[in-house]
Amino acid sequence: MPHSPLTPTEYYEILRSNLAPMFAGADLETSSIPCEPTARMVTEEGTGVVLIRPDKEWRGCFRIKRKTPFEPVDIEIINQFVRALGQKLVAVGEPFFDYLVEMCPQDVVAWSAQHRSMDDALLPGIIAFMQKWASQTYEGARISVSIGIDPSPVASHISSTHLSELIQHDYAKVLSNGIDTLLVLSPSGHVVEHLSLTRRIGGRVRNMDSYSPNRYRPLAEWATRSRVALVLNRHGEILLFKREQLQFAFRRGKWCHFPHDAVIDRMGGSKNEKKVMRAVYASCLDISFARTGGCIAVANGNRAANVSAYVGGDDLLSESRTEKSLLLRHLLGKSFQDIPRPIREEIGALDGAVVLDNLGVIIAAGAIVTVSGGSDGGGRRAAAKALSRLGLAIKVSADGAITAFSDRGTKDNPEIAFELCV
Amino acid sequence: MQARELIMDLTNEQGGGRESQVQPPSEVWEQFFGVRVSADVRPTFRLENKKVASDPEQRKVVKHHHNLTIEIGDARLPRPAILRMRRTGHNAFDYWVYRPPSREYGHCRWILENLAEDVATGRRWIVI
Repeated sequence: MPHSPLTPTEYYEILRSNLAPMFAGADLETSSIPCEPTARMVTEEGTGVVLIRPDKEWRGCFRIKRKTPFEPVDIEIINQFVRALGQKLVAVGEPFFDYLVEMCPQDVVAWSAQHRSMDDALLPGIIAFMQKWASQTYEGARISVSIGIDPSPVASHISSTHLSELIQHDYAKVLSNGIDTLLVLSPSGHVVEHLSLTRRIGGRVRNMDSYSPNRYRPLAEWATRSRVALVLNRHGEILLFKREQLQFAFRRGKWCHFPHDAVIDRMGGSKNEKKVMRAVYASCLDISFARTGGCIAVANGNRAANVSAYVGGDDLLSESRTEKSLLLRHLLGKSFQDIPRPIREEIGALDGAVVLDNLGVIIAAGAIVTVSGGSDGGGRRAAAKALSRLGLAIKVSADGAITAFSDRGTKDNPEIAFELCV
Repeated sequence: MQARELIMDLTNEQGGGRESQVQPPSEVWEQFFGVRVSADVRPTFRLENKKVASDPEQRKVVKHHHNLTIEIGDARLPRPAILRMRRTGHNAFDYWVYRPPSREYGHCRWILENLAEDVATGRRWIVI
């Protein structure tokens, strides 16, 4: 249905507030660019540059840029956003239009995860009630639940109770724990089973550095093939798992996307060093969702010898001058990638930075980093910026945001390798 | 209040081996299933064939040429046949397909002959 186009400023605000936050580090240009009526809605203009035409009734588009390239999955997300927005534009001028537009990122998440056999209203419905439950309590405690959708459940196990009926009851809030138990639904939304995932995990060979926060691995590993698992945790965050990976998370009021392979690619390193990078990335996810905050740096090749320029000698494990460094050296007698993830998460949570060489050997842990004055952020950010001169340094803030600095750029303004949930 | 029961003629539907892909009229979609034909959001139903002891079917409503279609396992040939559906919960239905010379078929045929909403399209139906 044709509608009167919005003003360029209104289109800009819609994209800036609802689409750009899904791509950490992306910058939306304020000025629109004229385009032909036949122009595509989403066009890759170059590496890290995409033109977005928000409305087919409007002959203009906006340029979104970021330093890191947009991957095919990113382009698909932008296309889905434009499709979602197109559905809402029929309500231009209505008082509820802004509310509808705010739903666009949620539509994108649901469409990205949905299998063709699933009820179209099921995933949006689950996300909506999880958002509602995020602000509620059960017997004084915040609610944490996990819901899975299995496109091919055992037919004889499908009950006649639909999720929409179940969630009317208070007891539904404790029918899964958001960590290793799961309420499984059929594609129609009827309850299939209530699973404990602990035994299943014990019987499998686990991919230690899978792309999921470690505490949610049982749920991620259930979400094979077209299965989808959603979690509401006690921080009020909603996590969506598919293909055994964390795909999206709703954090601090925004949906963020996790393009894991693209991130690993941007972390650099040779083929042999990728195992270290994957371990570092997995630990960053763990620290991010544990909300402890942390800083991990990986020194390139011979730059490992320069670590002492940034970290005091007391914190170098090789020197073991203090009780702390002596103990950590004793406890961490393996390469970083060979240490179990829960241990890495705890080491990462120590006040100070973890510094590795490119083979994963831990040079320092809980290390206080020497930073120059006049920093533009907190201490952890300043430490990560300083350590970026060694190769790659990643800051994970206590609220979950992840920012990685590379050795490119200047000392005070290093280039950002990637950002997540910022 | 949503209707609880549907009785409807089964026609040859889409024919050519696709007779089990049932295409009720738009009034039936709206009055009985609660689905607007023009809507982009389409449900998946839990269907249970109550004539035989069988496991529930999971069937998504799909759009075929401006009409909505639902696969009903037991709606295959032969004809004549009458479909009876009963709502059992949210997006959940029990169903029976009656064929002559059963008593149930005769009873439902009488209902359609005497009380059906729409005979103009060649398919008689009633929601209760």
